[in-house]
Amino acid sequence: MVKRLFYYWRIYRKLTSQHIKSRMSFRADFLISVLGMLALNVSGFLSLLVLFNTIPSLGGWDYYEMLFLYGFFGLAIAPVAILFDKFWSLWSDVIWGNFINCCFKPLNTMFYYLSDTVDLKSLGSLAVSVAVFVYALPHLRVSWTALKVVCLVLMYLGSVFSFIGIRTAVSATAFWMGRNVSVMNFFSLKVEQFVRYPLTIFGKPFQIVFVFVIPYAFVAYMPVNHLLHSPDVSPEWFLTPLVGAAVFGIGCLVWSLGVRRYNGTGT
Amino acid sequence: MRRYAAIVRNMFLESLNFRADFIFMVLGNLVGVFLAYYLWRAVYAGSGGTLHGLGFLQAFAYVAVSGCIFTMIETWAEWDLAMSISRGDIVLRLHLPLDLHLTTLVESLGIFLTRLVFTGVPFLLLIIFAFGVPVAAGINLIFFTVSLFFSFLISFNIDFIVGVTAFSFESVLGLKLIKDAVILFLSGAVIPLAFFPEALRPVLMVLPFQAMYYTPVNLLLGEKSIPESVLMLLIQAGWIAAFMTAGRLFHRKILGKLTVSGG
Amino acid sequence: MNKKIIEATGLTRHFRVLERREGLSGAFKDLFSRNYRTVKAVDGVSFSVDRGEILGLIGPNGAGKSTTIKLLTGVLKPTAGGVTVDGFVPFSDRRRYVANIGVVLGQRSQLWWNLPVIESFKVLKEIYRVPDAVYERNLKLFNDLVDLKRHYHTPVRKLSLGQKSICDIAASFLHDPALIFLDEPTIGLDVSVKKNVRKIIRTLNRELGTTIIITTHDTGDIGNLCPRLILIDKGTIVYDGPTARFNKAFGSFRTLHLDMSDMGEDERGALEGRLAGCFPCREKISVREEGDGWVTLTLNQDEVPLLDVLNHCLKTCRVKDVKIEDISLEEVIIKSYEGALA
Ligand SMILES: Nc1ncnc2c1ncn2[C@@H]1O[C@H](COP(=O)(O)OP(=O)(O)OP(=O)(O)O)[C@@H](O)[C@H]1O
Ligand SMILES: [Mg+2]
Repeated sequence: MVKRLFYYWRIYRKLTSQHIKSRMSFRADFLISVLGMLALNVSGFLSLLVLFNTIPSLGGWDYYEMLFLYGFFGLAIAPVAILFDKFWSLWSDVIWGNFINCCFKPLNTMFYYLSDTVDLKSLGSLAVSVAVFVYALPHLRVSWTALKVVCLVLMYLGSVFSFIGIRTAVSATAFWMGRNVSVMNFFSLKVEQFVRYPLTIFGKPFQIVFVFVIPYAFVAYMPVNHLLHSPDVSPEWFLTPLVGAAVFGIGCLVWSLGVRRYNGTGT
Repeated sequence: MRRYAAIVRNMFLESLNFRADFIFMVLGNLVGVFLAYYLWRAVYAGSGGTLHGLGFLQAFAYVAVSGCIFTMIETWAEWDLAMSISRGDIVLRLHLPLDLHLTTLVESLGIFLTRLVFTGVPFLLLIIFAFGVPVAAGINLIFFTVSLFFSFLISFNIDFIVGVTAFSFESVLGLKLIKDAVILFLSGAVIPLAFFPEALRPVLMVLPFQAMYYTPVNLLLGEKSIPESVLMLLIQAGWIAAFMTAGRLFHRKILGKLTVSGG
Repeated sequence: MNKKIIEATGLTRHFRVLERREGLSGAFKDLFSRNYRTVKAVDGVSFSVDRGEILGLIGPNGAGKSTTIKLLTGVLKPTAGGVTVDGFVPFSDRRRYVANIGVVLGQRSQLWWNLPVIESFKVLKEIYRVPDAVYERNLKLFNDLVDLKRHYHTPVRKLSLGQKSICDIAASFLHDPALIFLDEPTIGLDVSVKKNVRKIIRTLNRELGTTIIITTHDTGDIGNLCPRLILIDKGTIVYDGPTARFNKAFGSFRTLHLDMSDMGEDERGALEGRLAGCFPCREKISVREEGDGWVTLTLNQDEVPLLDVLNHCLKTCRVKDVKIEDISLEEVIIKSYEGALA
């Protein structure tokens, strides 16, 4: 098991370092794309700034709480943005048949598919998220304890894995639909723009969907709400890591069903 | 003209071919409208009715209709163009006895019209009737329609410039992100312009971006008198002319420098 | 060890394809209801392959060659029938199975687009856990055959098609696989590169004892490379046997293309009868219109001398241009159904 992990890690390191090297050789490209991501995220931050210029709180969350939520969401999706970027081109690799190469390697197909690409431009959004997070942190009214810090880290991991699971399942739709850009856009451009706000402001049906169907609630709202609005660590805090593990498992399952389906058509 | 019409028709057919794709686009807009509704309701929750002179439904209209316009005019033209330049397929288009700028425009137009028919109009109706947005029913609707086309033309010409200047996959994506983020934010599509600080607003009104979103929504709501409306349309037309000229200049420059890669 | 490395019985693969309706109204209808049609890409194919063999799969476009390869490499799941390769069921044991094979698809590279060739090799070395000694030996083998070193530091995207094909084949041999599948490895290559590819394949088969399955359109590949071939058409096997017998049956056939665009259509039509009269033979010379004024004659040199027929045509008809070729795959199929290989 450990040996296997090392084996995968060696391959991954080799491929990504090469990838980064070749990307870095297009310096203008790299700078422009990092700037693009910065612009995108800064404009999101500025929207909050403009909004809170007018109103004192949104759904009961004040400015800094909102920023903290925003930053936490950014941090939770950063690993997917950086390491799972190839999901965006899955549909074309399925349609044009390049995905077939993943079937010829004695490796996990998802690992192999993702392993040769790192999205460096998302470092731009990571930077903004870190900045927002750190900026908001000292203004929170939280009585910190060591346990809370540990729980926050655990919940963060849960959030990360929830998001990986969701994105994997969403991307794997390409195996059934072929071109799934609209599905990807639906989630990343529409839904994910809203789930970084306090969940309670949305109607009941949406809340139910975001908790039970597509558990976006656990990507940011749940953990941050626990931290900010419950005085002490309670069992509910541990729901996020559990959900993370489960959703990640489901995501991988959908992926492997997708690959099986691909093997059924082999387009 | 017939040839260009054939291109429009093809793009139309092509976008219909991806059925699920299409359904999700519609669904995406639907969910987007609802979530925006809730978000703005929360913004207005403690406000006592108006903020910066805008009622809740007006603010919602600015955001929702802008979102709707965005999905119509965002045709990924810059993307297609840059990709075909960097991959070398541009040669295929250059071999056609057609003008590149016009061909790309016409392709985008095909997408725009498809979106207009299948998502734009239904969603406008939804926003107006289901949510009761206070739309004035008069000559302003004609102004609005014209201004929608103008928005498309401004957006397309900006895309064209981005498309011919970007030289690779990464840079076109980066430029597209910057462009969309900046435009949406500064045009009042995310937060209505009225919410921006007093000092900033005159600056925003001078920029071309408000002409893409603020103008059509404003005309739809019918908040301005007829001369004022016509003036807004003229300003839009001015921006079209400016970007079009710039695009054609760039276009000529770039084609001269084209080194076709890929075999 | 089992002498047979591949055993396929009744291997079958069907596809369901969407029939799109035409035109604008058709596109609308497709939004709501869809028509499907079944394509029998591979239809009950049985064969076996010995260890160390080079087997050629030939057939016209759409015959089912690539689909067969996909079934054998575990990418596709058979609709019916079964296959074992080297003790594995390819589809179910995919991950362990593919560690032991190499695959080269002529139209798509397994190398990393942006990486220099040597870096791609190094990654593959990691993936297949190739021992240093084996890795060095195989690279050396390759460098002795074709000068690969020259391209080591070039990113794959900058290689020409021929260089890429050679690198791809090298990549698939690195880990000493028991067998290698090559799907049209020579497609689009010029004569000298084709020769190189054949040389590589032959040498590796001889030196390393690798079993090789190769699909191609090019009868040249087959004649030069494979002692045995399988001819596929419409998903079924038309011929499975020694290439020598195949060549004996078809090797003496030639197609003669004549440009007779100066002649009237009925004049050309009369040619077949006239030839049958002048050259009586068991199998009459077939004459086919190409539609653009060219006429194709197919004849068996064992029965009639090609030059006599050509002379006759030149004398009696107005011929503007002449081309002589080996028999085409389409003709081979037609003649096989008529019993030429029986
Ligand atoms: N994924 C698929 N879905 C539907 N039909 C398919 C699919 N793959 C192959 N087919 C059909 O199966 C048949 C056999 O295809 P295949 O690719 O195996 O042919 P081939 O012998 O490799 O031809 P070529 O020489 O052109 O490569 C063709 O009619 C093709 O249209
Ligand atoms: Mg094929």
